[in-house]
Amino acid sequence: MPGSKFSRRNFLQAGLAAGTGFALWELYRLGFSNQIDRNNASLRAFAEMGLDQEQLRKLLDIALEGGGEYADIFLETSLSSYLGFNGEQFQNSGFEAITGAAIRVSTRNGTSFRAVTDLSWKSLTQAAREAGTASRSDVRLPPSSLKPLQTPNLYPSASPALFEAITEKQQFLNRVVESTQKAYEHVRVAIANYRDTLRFLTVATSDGVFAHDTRPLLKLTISVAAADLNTGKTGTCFFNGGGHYGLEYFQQHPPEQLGRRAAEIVRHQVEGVAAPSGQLPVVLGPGYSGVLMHEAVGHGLEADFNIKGYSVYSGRIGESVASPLCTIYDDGRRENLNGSINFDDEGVPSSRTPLIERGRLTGYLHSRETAAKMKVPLTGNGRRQSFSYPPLPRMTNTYLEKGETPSEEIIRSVDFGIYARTFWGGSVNITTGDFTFFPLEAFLIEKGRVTAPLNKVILLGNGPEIMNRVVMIGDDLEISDTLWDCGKQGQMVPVTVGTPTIKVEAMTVGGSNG
Amino acid sequence: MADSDLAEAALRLCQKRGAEQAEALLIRHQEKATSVFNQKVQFSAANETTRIIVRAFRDHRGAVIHGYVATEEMLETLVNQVISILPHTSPDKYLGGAGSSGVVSGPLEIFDERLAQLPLNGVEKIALAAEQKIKERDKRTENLITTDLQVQTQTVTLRTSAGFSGSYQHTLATLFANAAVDDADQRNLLGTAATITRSLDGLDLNKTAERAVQDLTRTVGTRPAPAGEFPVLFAPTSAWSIAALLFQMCSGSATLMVETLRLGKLNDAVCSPQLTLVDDATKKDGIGSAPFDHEGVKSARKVVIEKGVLKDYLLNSYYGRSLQRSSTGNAVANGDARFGVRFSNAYIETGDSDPDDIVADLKRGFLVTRFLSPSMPLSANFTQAAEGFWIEDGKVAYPVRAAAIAAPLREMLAGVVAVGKDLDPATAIASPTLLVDKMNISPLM
Repeated sequence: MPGSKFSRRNFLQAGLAAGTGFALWELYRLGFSNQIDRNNASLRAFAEMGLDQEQLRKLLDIALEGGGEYADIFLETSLSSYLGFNGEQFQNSGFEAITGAAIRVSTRNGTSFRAVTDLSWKSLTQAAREAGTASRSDVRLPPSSLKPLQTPNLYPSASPALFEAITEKQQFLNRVVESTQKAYEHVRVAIANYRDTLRFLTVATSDGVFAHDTRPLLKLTISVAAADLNTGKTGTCFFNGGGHYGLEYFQQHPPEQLGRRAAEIVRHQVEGVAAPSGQLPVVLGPGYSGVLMHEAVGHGLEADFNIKGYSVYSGRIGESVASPLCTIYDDGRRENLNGSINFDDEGVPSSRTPLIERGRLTGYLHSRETAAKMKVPLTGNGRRQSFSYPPLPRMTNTYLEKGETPSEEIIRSVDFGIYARTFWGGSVNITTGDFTFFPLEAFLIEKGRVTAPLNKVILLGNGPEIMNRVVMIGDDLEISDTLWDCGKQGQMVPVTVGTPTIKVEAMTVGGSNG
Repeated sequence: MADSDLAEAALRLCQKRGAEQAEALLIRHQEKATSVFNQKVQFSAANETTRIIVRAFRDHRGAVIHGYVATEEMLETLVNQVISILPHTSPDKYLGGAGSSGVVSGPLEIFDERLAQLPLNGVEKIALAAEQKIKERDKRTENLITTDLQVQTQTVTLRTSAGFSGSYQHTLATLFANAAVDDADQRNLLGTAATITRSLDGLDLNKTAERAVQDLTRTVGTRPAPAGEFPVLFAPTSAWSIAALLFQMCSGSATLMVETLRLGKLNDAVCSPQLTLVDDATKKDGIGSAPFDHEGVKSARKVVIEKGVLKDYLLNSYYGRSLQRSSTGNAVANGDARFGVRFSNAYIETGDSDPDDIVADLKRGFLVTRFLSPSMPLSANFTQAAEGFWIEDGKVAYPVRAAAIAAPLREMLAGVVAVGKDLDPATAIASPTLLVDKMNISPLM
C-alpha cells in the first residue's frame, strides 16, 4: 500500500473491537502462539502493520534505484517486562518497547545507513531513497526477489515469559532474595531484578534473504553486598542466570540455586584473605573463566579490527598464537544460550566458527561487510544492539574445547598459585593484546589444594602470551549460563563464554598483598 | 504527531486509566555519523528516533514505560500494560513526581545552530580533514587512520501532571581518532584521541590530531614496571575514573551500598582534604548542562565533597524525600519509577601543583595515563589494570606495559597528597592530575 497510511490503526482497532483492551499485546501473543513455525511470528507482526514481503521488496528496489551492490532492511519490535525486589518492596517495574527500522545500502566504497522509528510508508521510502542516494554505484542489480530463510530454531521455549502473569514472576524474585539472605547472615543488601524480552525481527536483503526471528530472552540478576561488622570486611557481587527461555527455565535452575551461589561468593569475599600479587600459576575453573577466551582471543579476532591492522592478531592467519593444546570456537548454534541466534542481524545463519585450532589461528569473525572485503565465507557474526545501530562483527558463545586432564589433577599440579572460578567481566586493549579480567571469586592454591578464599584480585595478561602459557586443559567443559553483555563501539549484545578447567603456568595477579 | 502533543496524549491516557500523577518525557534524537578510513568514507548514517518515557503513580505505587514508540495507538497499548501492573508494585511513600519545578534562566549555550544544520556531507568533510591532520603530523600512519564523527541534535520535551511544561534542544559532536603505524617493527601501535563538544567551533581538529599522534608513541618500547609499593600519579586522562568513583559514592541512590562498604556517610571525611568535588549542571557550554532535569527540577551547581568531607548527595526527588532532603536536580529517566541519579558536569576542583613539579619531586613512581577498564563498580578495594609511564629520579623514564595497581579504596582516596592545576573540564566528568602516596603495583611481565 505505497502512498497510504499503514494499517496499524486498523489493526489495533480490530484488536480493540475484540474486547482485549491490549490489542497489540494480544496480536503479538497470537503471533507467537503459532507453534508450527514460531519464528514466523515476526513476519506476522510486521505484516499486520502493512510491512509484508512485497512492501519490503519494493523498499529494497527504491534503495537501489540509483545503483548499489547490496541493500538490506532490518525491522524490529522488541518488548520487555521487568521488575525488581529488595526483600521488602517490589520496585522498578515497567515495560520497554522498541520499534523501528534500518535501511542500509553498500557499494565497494562504503555503506550508508538510515534508522527511523516512524514506520509509515512515507518515512520508510524516504529513508530508502536517502540511503541509496548516499551510496550510489554504477552497479545495477536486478529487481529484488525474496525467499524465506529456513533455519533450525535454537530457542524452542513454547511459552515466552513476556505473556506470563506478573505474580508468577514475583515469586521467583521472592525466592532468590530469600535464599540469598538465608544463606549468609552478613548479607546487608540483596536486590533481585528480573527482565524478559521478546524480540520480533525481520531481515530482507537484496541478495534474496527474507528472514524472521522471534527471540525470547530471560534474565534474573541478584545484586548482593555483605559486611561483617566484627571484622569490617565487605563483599559485593552481581550474579545472574537465564537465556533464551520462558519461565520453564526456573524448573531446571531454581532461583534458590542462584541466591545461594551469590551468597557464597560474597561470603568468600568477606572471609577472604589479602590476595598475593606478582607472577603466579593460575588455574581457571570451568565455565565462567571462558571470559579469558572472550577478552584474550575473541575481541582481537573480530574482523573489523583486523582489516584495519589494529589487532594483535592482524595478518596472522595460520600462525601459532596459542599453546597447541588450545582449540577455540565461537558457536552461535547452541540451544538456548545467551549468545545463540538462529541467524545474525544481517540474515546470515549462525555457525560454529573455529578461531584457533591446536594453537594455530584459523579465522576471524565476520559481518557481511568484512567477509566481502576479505573475500572469505560468512560466519554469521554480524550483530547489532537494536535497529538503530549498524551491525558489527561480534562474538556469540565463545569457548575453549575440552582437553583430557581431570580437573583435580590440574589443581594438584600447583604448589602455590591462584584458583579463580567466577568472574564479572573483563577488558582488552585490542592492539597490544593486553587484557584484564575480574574474578568475583578466587582462592589460593597451596601444595596442590584449594585453600583460603581471596579478597579482591584481578588477573592481567597478554592474549597471545597467555594462550601460549596454557599447559593443562581439563575434561570438564562448561558453558556459562550467565548472561554476559558484551560492549563494543557503544553497542551491547548478549554473549556467553565457556571453558574447561585450565592451567596457565604464569600470569600477573594483582592483589593488595605485595 | 508533535512531541508535545504525544507527551500530552500520554498524560491524558495515564490519567484516564486512573493514574494520580504522571509524567511524559520525549527525547527526539537526530544523528549524522560517519566513519573514515584510508581516505575514504566507509560508513555514513542519518538516523532519527524518538524515545519516550512515561511514569505513572497511584496509591504511592509507580511504574514506567519507555522505549521507541511512534504512534499514539502503540502508546495506548503500553499505558494499559503499565497501569495493569501498578497494583502489583509495592506502595512506597517516597514515590511521586518532583512537585516543585523550574528552569535555569539565561542561555546555557548547549545548542549550536550551525552544528545542528551541518549536512551529512559536511560531517564527512570534517572527518576527512581530521584524518589529513593526523597524517600530516606522522606520515607513518598513512592508510591506517580511522576518524569517526557523530553529530547529534536532541530535543527534550517534558510534561507533568503537576503542570510542568518544558522543552530544550542541545547539540553534541564527538570525534574519535585512531591512528596505527604501518611499520613492520612497530606493528602494534595505536594512538587514540577523542573530542566532545557542543559546538562546531569546538571541534578542534589540530588538537585531536596532536593528541592521537602523542598517544601513538605511548607504547613504543614498553617495559614492565617494577613490582612493589610506589607512589601512583594519575594523569587527567585516567584521573576522571577516580572522580567517577567518588561521584558514585555521592549518589543518593547508593547510600545503602556505600554505608555497607564502609566508605562513609554525610559529613564524614571520605577522602583526602585536598579533594573538592563539584557538580554543575549550569556550566555554559557544558557537556552535561541542561536547564532542568528529567523530573523538571531546575539545574544547579553543587559542592558535594568539600575538602574531603561529604557535604551533599546528588539527588532526584525520590531519593531526596527518602533522605529528608531536596532534589538537587540530578534525576535521570530510566525504567525505574524512582528514576536514577546522574552527575551533570562533574569535576574535582583544580589544585595548586604544577604536574611537571609533581613528577620532578618523585624519586620513583607510576604515571597512569589510562585504565584498561575505565568504568569501575564500587568496591571496598581498588584493584585495576593501568597503562602509562615509569618515573625515575623526577623524570619520565620509559613507557610501561599494563600493570595491576591495588589499594583499599578508602586508603587510596585518603592518600591523595597532591592535586594538579591542570583541570580541563571539556568532558562531562573531569579531574586534574592526582598523586596517591602509595599503591601496590604488579606488572605484566
